[in-house]
Amino acid sequence: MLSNRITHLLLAGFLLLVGLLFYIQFRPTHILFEILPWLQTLHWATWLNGLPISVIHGLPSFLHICFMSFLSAALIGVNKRLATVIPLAWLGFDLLLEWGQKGSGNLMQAGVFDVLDVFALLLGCAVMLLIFHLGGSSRTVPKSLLVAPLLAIGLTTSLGSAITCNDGYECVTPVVLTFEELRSEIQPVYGNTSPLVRPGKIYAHGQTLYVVDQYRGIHIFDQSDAQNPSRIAYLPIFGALEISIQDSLLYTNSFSDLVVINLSHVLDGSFNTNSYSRNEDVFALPSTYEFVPDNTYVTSKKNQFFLDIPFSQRPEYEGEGIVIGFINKQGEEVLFGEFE
Amino acid sequence: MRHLSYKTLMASLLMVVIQGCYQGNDTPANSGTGIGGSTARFTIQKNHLITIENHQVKVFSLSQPMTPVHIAAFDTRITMETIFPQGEERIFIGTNDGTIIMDHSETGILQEVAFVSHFRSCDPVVAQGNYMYVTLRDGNGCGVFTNNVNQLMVFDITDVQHPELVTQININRPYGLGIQDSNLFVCYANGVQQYDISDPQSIEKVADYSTECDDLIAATSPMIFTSKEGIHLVSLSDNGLTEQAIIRAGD
Repeated sequence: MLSNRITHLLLAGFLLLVGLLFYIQFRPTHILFEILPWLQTLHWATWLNGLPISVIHGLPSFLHICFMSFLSAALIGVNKRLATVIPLAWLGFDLLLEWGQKGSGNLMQAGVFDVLDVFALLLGCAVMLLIFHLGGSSRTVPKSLLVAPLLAIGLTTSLGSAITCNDGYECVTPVVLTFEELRSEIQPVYGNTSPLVRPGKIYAHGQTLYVVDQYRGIHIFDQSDAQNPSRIAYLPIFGALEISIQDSLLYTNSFSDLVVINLSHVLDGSFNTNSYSRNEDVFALPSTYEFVPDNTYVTSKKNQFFLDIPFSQRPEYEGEGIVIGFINKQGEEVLFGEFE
Repeated sequence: MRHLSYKTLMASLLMVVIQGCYQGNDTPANSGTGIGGSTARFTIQKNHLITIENHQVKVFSLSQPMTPVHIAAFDTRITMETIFPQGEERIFIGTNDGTIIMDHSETGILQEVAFVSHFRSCDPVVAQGNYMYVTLRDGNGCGVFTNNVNQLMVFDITDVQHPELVTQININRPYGLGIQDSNLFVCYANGVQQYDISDPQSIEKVADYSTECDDLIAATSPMIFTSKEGIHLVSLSDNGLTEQAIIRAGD
């Protein structure tokens, strides 16, 4: 009987450890690590980035309900009734917290309601019901004294990345590129008027050299005279980073879209709206991790902000566009790749 | 018993599988393609556009070239960084954990034939004949730790399923690399190194230039180097590299 209780305690400890390690890997700016910075040294596993989004999203909820159930069972004990009551009670508790994150987040500003969390909670609850009912019972103690501390532990450990814009955290306003702007008409700029701002990838095709201006567009140069390369045209394409060419068609990305440009129309000046095509929402957007300073969070929704951008989640702004930067304390725009 | 079932559950939750790919059916490609640098993430082979993102390879059929059709996607648990086509049937993908070699003999269908793991780092890869050349660079966005592994590695891929390490040479933070005939150029912290690779089993450094570069296209004439400063057009002669022109950032 005692061993059953110790097993529950050990499993609870194990789950707490797994949850903690998970948070270190995925939510390194979590409030806990501001208080205990040495925990940051345990951040090692970028290979975990390859986990499916569903696991990354749902695992904390799953771990939490299992952890609290085991801990409750270890402290209170398990009998036939408690084997049902404990998992269901924590399911209710966690669902309530999850529900509080719904909408524009007035109750729990920092959290984000996620259907995957609900599935993870239901799964966790089912697993715990199964384990408790299959496992033996253990001697129970009156639970009245333990409920309050357990709830406190439950609430603390469920905080996850729930923090708000206050001391130590700078919350900034996003700069948003609307989908309308992103997908506005592409028009080549001829002549030598557009400077190369941020040199990116290069591609050579015959006597023509293509140079990506990161996140801004593509410059086209005639390099037949290697000592005097001349700019033929500049193609402004928001979010461009990549190039490949076959025959007279250029393939590039425009943030989430795959764009095809008919180069012969660029070169002979007959470029029009039929000279290019745009495949929408083909690629994942870049992560804001790459350009946001430590302890700064960009609002991803009204009244909310990025705490942790899951690695391929779209930094979308209320469905209106893409977060491409933020306005810092000095009122300056800081953009992805500093594009203008 | 209960403990065991728990472990199994955790293990299955943490497991990530490389998913299979679908089928494409196109006529063999014409080769109106150009050439990119070693850090490219787009490439065209056999009339298919192949793209890599962090954890996903996507294949688009270009049978209707203006309207690419997404025909396949598969996930990898490691972060992919560069893609390099060799001929019409082979693709090399540089990841931060090793190099993936893929076979593209059946048009539109990519199949992994080998994975050469190495230290965590950034690693563009290029290939010529039966050899592939990989640079490893540590720090700054190339894995979490600075592990001081900065190398050029040469692999014999005659038996493509079992690449064999031929040489590893320490270089100060190497990055992009490219081949022109029997010359291999490697961008690194202090410029560019030139290796004679006429015998890939024993490559030799023949020159070291101070031309700044992150990536390069070596197979073209002029060769093209990129750096923060701008785009350098560089010619190669018996006397080595000569910068012909620079398209400066800001111009």
